[in-house]
Amino acid sequence: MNVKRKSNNLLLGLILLVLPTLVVTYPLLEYVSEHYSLLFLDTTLLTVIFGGAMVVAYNLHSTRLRFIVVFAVLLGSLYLVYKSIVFFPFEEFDSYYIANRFRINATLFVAGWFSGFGIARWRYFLVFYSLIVLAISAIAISAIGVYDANQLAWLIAPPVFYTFYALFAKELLSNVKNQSKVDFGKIFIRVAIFCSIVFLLFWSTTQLLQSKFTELDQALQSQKDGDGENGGGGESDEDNMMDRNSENQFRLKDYTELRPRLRQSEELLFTAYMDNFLENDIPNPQYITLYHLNQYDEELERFEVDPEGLADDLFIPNPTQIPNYYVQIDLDVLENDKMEEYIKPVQSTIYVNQLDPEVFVAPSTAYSCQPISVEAAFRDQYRFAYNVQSEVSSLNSAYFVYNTREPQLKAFQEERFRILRKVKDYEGVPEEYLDYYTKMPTGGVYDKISDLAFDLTKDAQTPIDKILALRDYFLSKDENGEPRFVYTLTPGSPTDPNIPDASLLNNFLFTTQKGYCTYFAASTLFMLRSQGIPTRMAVGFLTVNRSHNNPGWYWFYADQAHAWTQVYFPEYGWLDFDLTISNEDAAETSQPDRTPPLPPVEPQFVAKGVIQELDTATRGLTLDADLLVIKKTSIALEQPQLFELDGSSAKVIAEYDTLSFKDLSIGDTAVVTSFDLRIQQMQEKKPSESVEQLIARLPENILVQEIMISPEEEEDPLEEEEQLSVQEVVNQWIGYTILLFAVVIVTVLLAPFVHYSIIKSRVKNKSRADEKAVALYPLVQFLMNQMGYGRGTMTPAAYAEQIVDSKLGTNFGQLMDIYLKIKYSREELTQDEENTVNEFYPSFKTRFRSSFPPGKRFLNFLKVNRWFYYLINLNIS
Amino acid sequence: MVEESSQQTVEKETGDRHLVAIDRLISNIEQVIKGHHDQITQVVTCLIAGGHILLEDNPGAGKTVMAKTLAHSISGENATLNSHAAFNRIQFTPDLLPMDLLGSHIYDEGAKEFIFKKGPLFTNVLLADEINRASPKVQSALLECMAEHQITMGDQTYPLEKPFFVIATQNPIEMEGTYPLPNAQLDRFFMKISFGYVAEEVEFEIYKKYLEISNFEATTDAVLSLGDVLALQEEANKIFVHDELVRGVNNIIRATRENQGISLGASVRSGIILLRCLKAYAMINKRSYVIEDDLTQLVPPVLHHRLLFRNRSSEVEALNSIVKSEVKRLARLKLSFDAAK
Repeated sequence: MNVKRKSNNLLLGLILLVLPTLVVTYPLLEYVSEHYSLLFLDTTLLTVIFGGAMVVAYNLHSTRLRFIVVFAVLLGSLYLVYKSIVFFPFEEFDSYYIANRFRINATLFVAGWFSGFGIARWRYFLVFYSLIVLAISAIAISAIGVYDANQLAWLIAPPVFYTFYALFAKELLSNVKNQSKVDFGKIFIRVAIFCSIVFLLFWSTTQLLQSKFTELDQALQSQKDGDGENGGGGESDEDNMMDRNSENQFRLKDYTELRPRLRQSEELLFTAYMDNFLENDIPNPQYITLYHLNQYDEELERFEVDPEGLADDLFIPNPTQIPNYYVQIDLDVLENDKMEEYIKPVQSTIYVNQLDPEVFVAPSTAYSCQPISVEAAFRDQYRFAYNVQSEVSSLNSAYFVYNTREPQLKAFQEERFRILRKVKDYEGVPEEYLDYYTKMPTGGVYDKISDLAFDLTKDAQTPIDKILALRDYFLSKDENGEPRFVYTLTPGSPTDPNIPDASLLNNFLFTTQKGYCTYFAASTLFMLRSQGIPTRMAVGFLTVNRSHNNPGWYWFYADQAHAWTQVYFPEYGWLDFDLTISNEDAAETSQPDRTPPLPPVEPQFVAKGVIQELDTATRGLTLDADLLVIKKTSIALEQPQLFELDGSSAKVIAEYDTLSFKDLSIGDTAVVTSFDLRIQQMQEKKPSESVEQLIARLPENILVQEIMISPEEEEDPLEEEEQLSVQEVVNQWIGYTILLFAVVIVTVLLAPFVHYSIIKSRVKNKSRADEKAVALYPLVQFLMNQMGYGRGTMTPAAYAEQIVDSKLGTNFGQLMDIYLKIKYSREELTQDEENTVNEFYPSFKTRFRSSFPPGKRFLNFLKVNRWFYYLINLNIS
Repeated sequence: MVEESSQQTVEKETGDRHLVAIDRLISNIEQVIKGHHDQITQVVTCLIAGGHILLEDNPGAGKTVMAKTLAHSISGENATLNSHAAFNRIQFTPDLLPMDLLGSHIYDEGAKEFIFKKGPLFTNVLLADEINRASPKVQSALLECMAEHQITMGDQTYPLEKPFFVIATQNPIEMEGTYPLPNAQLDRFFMKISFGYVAEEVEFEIYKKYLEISNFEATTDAVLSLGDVLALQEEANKIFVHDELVRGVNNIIRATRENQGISLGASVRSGIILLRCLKAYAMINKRSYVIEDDLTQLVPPVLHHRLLFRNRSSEVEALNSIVKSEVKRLARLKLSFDAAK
């Protein structure tokens, strides 16, 4: 009865308290994770962790489990796991990443645990909790910047409602707590009535205050406009398009959305050299593409990566995972870029400054990545560098709206338009491909966009002419001779609150005609798609040719994060057409050009392996290398091979420090780089030549110029490409942890059964009556203790008579008398007593089984706390 | 061999007879004192252990009746009255003199010499009522006799009766005009117990059958002879106490000295007394060996009045917790058969 009441209370608490708490926590977590840019964390997962901890803690602490001890153990074990992750030899960034992620999850878990405990034990906990919810909601709402009173009211409603609800539900439950019979139906009806009353009250209040709201709206609107004019003042200067990690490194967000205001930062992210020139060495810059955003969220007006999209021509390696000078290639990309003519190989070199080095940046369509070492003089400025091979259409250019008046560039433009006019329509393009890149929402603003696009392009015959028509529209002047469209970072939101479903896109195209890149790109995208031209949204970096001092060198600052459209032309592939008009204000304050880093001399020989022998006198070393680069040929050896090297003029580098030769030790993993002239004079690898032959041609005692020690033992480079991604490692860890927990839990749950069978087998093995009696006593005591009839502080004899015999009607008392006689007397057992012992167990067993049916026995056996009690207090040592 | 076994049988038979006699003694007393089985057992334990007992209780709880019935149940060989064991009762008052207890030398005019007139102390069962009302002089006279089992008057020594069993009572509520027994003297009582009130049904039974009860009081049969009592006392000494239980007694006594709540712990003598009581108690319960349950039953009455407690809560808790932890240790002892046999 008591047990049932407890479980009922538990269930009610879970449904009425824990569940609603989780429901209000979810959006808060979402806000918090967005605010702190926890990109890699899924809110659902966070909520599951928080909720799981809460439910478990609620269940556990509803019994009389000690909180402080459990909590301390929990904190301690989580800390240990965290420390072990930190020390686990992952790659540098991964370890950091996993540890960071674990820390967030653990913090949430602990918070959830604490909340669960609070709900179970503290009467006023929910009041405090709801206050916290209210506070965070208020912060979140103000940060989002809601300028609509109605919306504001409905946003603030859930937390306020939760506050009242928490008080109500807690009170309701404490009333129910002491009732032996719980009428679930009645309780739920009460809750439902309460909720509907509160809802009605709130709804009628909003209805009554509707007129007030309109006034408020206007007030808010004027305030918002004031914000817009002030530019970035007042609020946080967070970047809309970029995220920063804890080392202040940047990553581009993998989505872009229409917002009333765009904020950007101005740090130098990376520098690139692009070997792409028109005739007469005129640089032809290419955009740096990071993502293709093929998914559109109509409600948020946000473009996102489509995880289930078509096969893409995007190469996304993690440069930090590739060993120096080793080349990682993805040929699928070249398959998917659909380019057949005017293909031009372009080599670029990227020097990473403030950008997150894990983010791969390159002009499209990149297909290979080769990390290189940065020249020593530039190492404080650029922490990382890599070469990139791309396949670029020679028709492609970042110039479309800009720099079109220079004669040579103009000729180039005309030439490429002429070629592209050959594409009349999209016949022969697979249906699926065409559909995917021309799909768009219908109705409302999108129909208006279609109509506008149709109007603008009705005279144009070919896709390129349609694009040009749109360009001309964006660049056209209005009746007053002013530019029709203006580039601004603060386009604002629709001024007329009476327009239902006010769309920022609608506002941009048809009302204000002010916006930033995403507005232009979105408009172009939908206008072209509405005309059946396959188009996609790309985000990355705008490439600006700032001066003519360093042709081919481009500097990328954080405010160059950009969104534009790419249009598909059969046979020519995807070409960039950026219709964003230039920002007149920003043009004058453009970032300075800088000195380009010296391109490093191409190494002749690179080997990665384990140092086998060291001779500090002659500074020679033997390297057991498994990864080689010989004259641009990357070779991964199946069997590591020994190379004798001459390090007499070598510089020893560990990460960013310069060491001396003495600091090397046998067993270190090192990458050696050689500019040996003998190799330089050697012939390139012939196609017919095998790897062994090439290696055989190498001179002896290669002179190495640089020895770079890897901080820790790295994975076998052969497996480098198949190496698990961070996500998989994390999942594995989670899996192991869950498995470990499961094993521990199952072991603990099974322990009473095992212990019981051991005790029982002791009884069976005994033939002498006295030994049997001695073995029977713990058996009975164990069984009864597990069923909830513990001995406590009673003496065995009193326990036998008062507890066991009075419950079961057995003659355990007699057995205990015999037991005590064996224990404390020098006398032998009499025949009668021996008979009693021998007859005891069968009769006890039947009584025991009739008193405790199998199901109950089983459940009681699972109660591990009783077993612990037995072990600590009753076990015969 | 045969002789030995027959001798054993005889011994066993006499032992059995005595055990039966104890049962009858207890049931005799239970006829008159209802609902106090534990206390009666403790009183009998004291008798058989050869000690004395102090009852602390309100008037009318049945102390006198108890003492009387006990005396009547024992037939006296040299008894003066009704062939029962001699029973005397002394009401202690502040003006009582030691002489009134011990007796005095009186001048015998016929014999022309002083003869010793024996006082009420020369008896088998003595009820010393309200012992804390008498002056310390009288108290110490009594207590000394209890310990020495003899009286020395001048140069003459007079042995007391055997067995000599004192049931002293003291009144806990009337503290005015009393001389509380000093701790050293309390030490001479094997046990200090209190009767307390009986359960409701038992009390109802008493009111219903009070006539029967008082009739029975008058017609109590003697079930034991004084010789039997002495024999039982002898027999009790033979009860086996396992080494672990001796260690248990030792541990308990030592624990009282180390306990934070106890300012004066138990003496060595109290340990010996505890062992004697344990043996007697085991015999009353028809065992030839002592078990740990005996400890839980006997340690509080035997030891509690010997200790000085620092505060009220430890007065209630300390001793019980000592016994509990010791019993816990004993209950968890593992049996090694070879050692036990």
